[in-house]
Order: sequence, then C-alpha cells, then structure tokens
Amino acid sequence: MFRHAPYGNALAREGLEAALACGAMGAKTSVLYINEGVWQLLAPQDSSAIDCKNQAAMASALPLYDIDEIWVDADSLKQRNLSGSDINAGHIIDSSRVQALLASSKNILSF
Amino acid sequence: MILHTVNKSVFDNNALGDCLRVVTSTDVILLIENGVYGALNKPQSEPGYVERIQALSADGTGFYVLQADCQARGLQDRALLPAFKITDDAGFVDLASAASAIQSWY
Amino acid sequence: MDKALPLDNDGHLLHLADWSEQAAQQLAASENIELSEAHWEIIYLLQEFHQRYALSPPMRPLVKYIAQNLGKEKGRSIYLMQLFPPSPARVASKIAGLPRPENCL
Repeated sequence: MFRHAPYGNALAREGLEAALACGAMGAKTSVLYINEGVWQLLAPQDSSAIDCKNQAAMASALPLYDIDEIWVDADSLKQRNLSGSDINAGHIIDSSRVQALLASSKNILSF
Repeated sequence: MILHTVNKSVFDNNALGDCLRVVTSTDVILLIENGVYGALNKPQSEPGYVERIQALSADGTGFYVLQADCQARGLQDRALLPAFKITDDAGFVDLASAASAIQSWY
Repeated sequence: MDKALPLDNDGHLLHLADWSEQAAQQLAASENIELSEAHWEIIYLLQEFHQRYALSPPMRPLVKYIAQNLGKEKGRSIYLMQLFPPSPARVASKIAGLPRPENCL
C-alpha cells in the first residue's frame, strides 16, 4: 500500500523495493496506490537533477517481478484533479474494491 | 477484521480521514500516539468527520484509543467522542491477534 | 589487471562509468569465466534492463526479461547457469558493471 508521494522522503522508494523483493521471492503480491501515493504514478518523471533513482522507471519493472495486480484508488486521483490519462500504470478501482482488496490480504505493508 | 492503527494527529495529518474512507463495518480503528487527538469531542477541521465516525460506529466499526497515550497527553479527563472505547496494551494485543491483517496509517 | 578499477566489497564496479568491454573481461576473469558471444548478449541486455528500470535484477525478473527479448530458449535459468555459474544474476551483473542485485542469495 503506497500512501506517500515520491522523493520527499524514503517511504515511496522503500515501499517499491519491498514490493519488488516480495515479487522476486515469489510471494503473491498486489500493490495499491492510494492517497498521496498516487503522485508516484505521474509520468514522465526525471529525477536526475535531484540525484534520486527514477521511481516511475523502477515501478515499470513490477510486471517483470511477477506483480501484475497494480491498483489505483479512484477517489485519491479525483481529490488531486488527476485522471487515468495522467498516470502511467495501474487499474483504477473504487473504494468498495479497495475495501475488498484489504479484506482479502493476508498481510498489509504500508509505505 | 482488519485492525487499523492511526498514529498522526487529525489536526495536522489526513491519516485518520484516509482510514475512515476505506474502513468497513467489520473493522476496528485504534488511535495511538498523536493519533489519540482524533478522539476528542470537539469540532474538527474535516467536514462531516464526527458524523462519519458516528455512522461507522452504528454500523459496527470498532473505535478505540490507547489509554497510555491519552494519559501522557493529558486527555484522560477530557470528553471523547462516544464511539471511542479506551483500551490498554493488553487490549491492543487482543485486537491485533484477532485481526486478519493490520494496516498502519502514518 | 592492467589497471585497478574501484570495486565494492563484493567485487562489483563502484561506478558504472568505469565499465568497458576490457573491464568486463577483467571482471569475468575474476569469476573464472571467458566471455563468448552468448555472454555478451546477456551482458548488454542486463545493461539495458538497468538503464530502463534503474534496477539490478535478481534471477526471476532477469529470466523473464531475457525470455521476452531473446526468446524462451535463452530465458531459462539452466541456460544462464551454464554461462554465469554459480549464481547467474550476481555474476552477470558484476560483469556488466552493475551493483549486486538486492534480494539475491
């Protein structure tokens, strides 16, 4: 569960690395971008001038790590005047599907 | 049941508001650390906040605050929203072990 | 070695900019590997992966990426094991000048 914007602190990056590690180890993993986390999906990102790894680039590797369930909370997009055309990955779901996703999760890691 | 813990004050952070948007009637919310300010019975900056908690509580969502964190902040004698029950560390453990998963809002 | 390249504790290049085909030969020699066309193909693909995703892939994603780009025959761990023993993701990333993959045994 990614709830924070990228680059301002290490949370988004660490969350992504945790997800990639779960995927690389073969654990069935879904990711959910919600609240401030939806900023992570804006494209294109160019983080070279702030000396950080490009997180949109890293996130685009998720399917190669066998993470194919990439969900984005619709309300969070709407609150930030964003729409499906602003983000570079993921399927947009409403809050009832967010609730179902959480309820069906064995473990939730929040970043 | 998912146990949602919230540790940020509702007055400077939207963690509790974000939690309230996706919590269900079978879930439990536990306010800890600075999160306990969210249980105060006073008008909130977020419109509809008190009503939302009341409605969820009526539907079955559990609301708790951690006693030690209230006491530390001088909230023990203040009026809390009626939805909130006070619990201690042992109660926290019981809630955590009864939960299918724990979601930490911070 | 002709010239000392700055390495980390695992023997990986500290700076990708130091990488050259000659550096790759040196790094391969430290793993007792003599590079062939089949090795170079994987090495360049790994560098492309790193360029595109800013990541050094462990085994599963590496195998998947190779299968996508070079076909299923090569996108298999046994094939990579023959080229880059004993731990293909680690050894190949080392020769390609990339950091050691995280979550890699």
